[in-house]
Amino acid sequence: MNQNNNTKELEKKIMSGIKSGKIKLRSKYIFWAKKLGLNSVLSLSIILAILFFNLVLFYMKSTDNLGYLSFGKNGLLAFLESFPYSLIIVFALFLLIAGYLITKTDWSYKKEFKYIALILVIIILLAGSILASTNLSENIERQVFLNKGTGLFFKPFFKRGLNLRGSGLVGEIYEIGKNYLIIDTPKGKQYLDLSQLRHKPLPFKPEEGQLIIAIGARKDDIFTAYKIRLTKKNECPMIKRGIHIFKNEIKSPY
Amino acid sequence: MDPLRLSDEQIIEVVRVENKGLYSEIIKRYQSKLSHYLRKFIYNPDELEDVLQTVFIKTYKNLFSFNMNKKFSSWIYKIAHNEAINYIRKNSASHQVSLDKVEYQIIDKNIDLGKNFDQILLKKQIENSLSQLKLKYREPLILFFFEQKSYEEISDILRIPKSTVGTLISRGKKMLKEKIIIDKLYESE
Repeated sequence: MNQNNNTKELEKKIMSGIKSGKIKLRSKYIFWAKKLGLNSVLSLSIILAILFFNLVLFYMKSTDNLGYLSFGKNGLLAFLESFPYSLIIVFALFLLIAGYLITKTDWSYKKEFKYIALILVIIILLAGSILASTNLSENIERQVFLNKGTGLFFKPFFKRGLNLRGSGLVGEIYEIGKNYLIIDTPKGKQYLDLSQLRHKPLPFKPEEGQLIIAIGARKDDIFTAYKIRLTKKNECPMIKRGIHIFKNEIKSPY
Repeated sequence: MDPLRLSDEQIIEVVRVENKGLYSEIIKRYQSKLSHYLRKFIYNPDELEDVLQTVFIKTYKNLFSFNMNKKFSSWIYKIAHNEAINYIRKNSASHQVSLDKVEYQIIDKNIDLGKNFDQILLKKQIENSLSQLKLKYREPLILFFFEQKSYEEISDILRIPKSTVGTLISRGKKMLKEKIIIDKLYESE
């Protein structure tokens, strides 16, 4: 009897709220807008994750970063120093945001999150790799060098590719001296001391205009090389383009 | 139009577009069911009524977000489940689950403890052990045994895959049985 009364009372209370307009139905447009907003932010996160993964690949391919690994474990420090941490962090951040948002949509309804996450990662990595075969990254890099458009947004991420390193150096031979080389880099001319080379003589005959990569240690303006080798224009194209940009002799592709 | 002949989904359609008063039929249909379900998480009758009221209000306000291709009962249970979780989070102190005779018999039959238990003490032990069980296992057990929901419906309510529902129920049952046996051993020492 008591429960029956409670049942009736609750029903009465809620229905009087509905009839008086105190309790209102939320408009269907609010739900549509919410759904649309969620799906848009999810799509944007996935697109940005793909773009940043593509930029990570581009950075590794076109800067000196991977080149240092050719020196074995001695090149590890320079590799870590030139690693694109900010690009990787932003990529991971968009991946996490996309993963989180997907759990809030109907896409993941009653599905195991680990499978959804796996599919998401595969799609992003695959699409990022496909994008890497287009010239999108080069266009972004050009915008960065020209300091306009989207380049302004991506500048902090690319800048790292051309920074001077404490334990690695890449650039074009500008001058050859006894036990030293003057190297043209995107950050200007650098003195390369060859007196501490682990293997003498030099493994190549130095000529002006050659592109070299070295590992060693920097003290102020002098970089002391421990190991050095020749590299090709297409191994570190960003460095090569950087050198010409700073010389105001923009040849290709600008 | 006789509301008793309409399905939940048909009533929702009518409430959305023409007759808001018909929502009272939904309250009638679900009040005791949800009250029964929420009682496993909320033991204070006044608080239970407040939560139940919130469930019906939230359900009404969000009727346009209900997907008509899905089952309404699962959707309203999902809202009740969310409210129960919110309540537990706010009132983190542990609560004692209280079972009625039928519920106790369901559990006794399903976890098959043999006949070495004093039946009166066993009821108390099942209540204790169920209260101690992690929410993750307690929820599907309650929905399956006491609310007689199918795996499909539990999967809808908890938004987890059907296979996970089966795993959680089977693990929950095993854990419950172990807890009861351990409690019994401690008692006899």
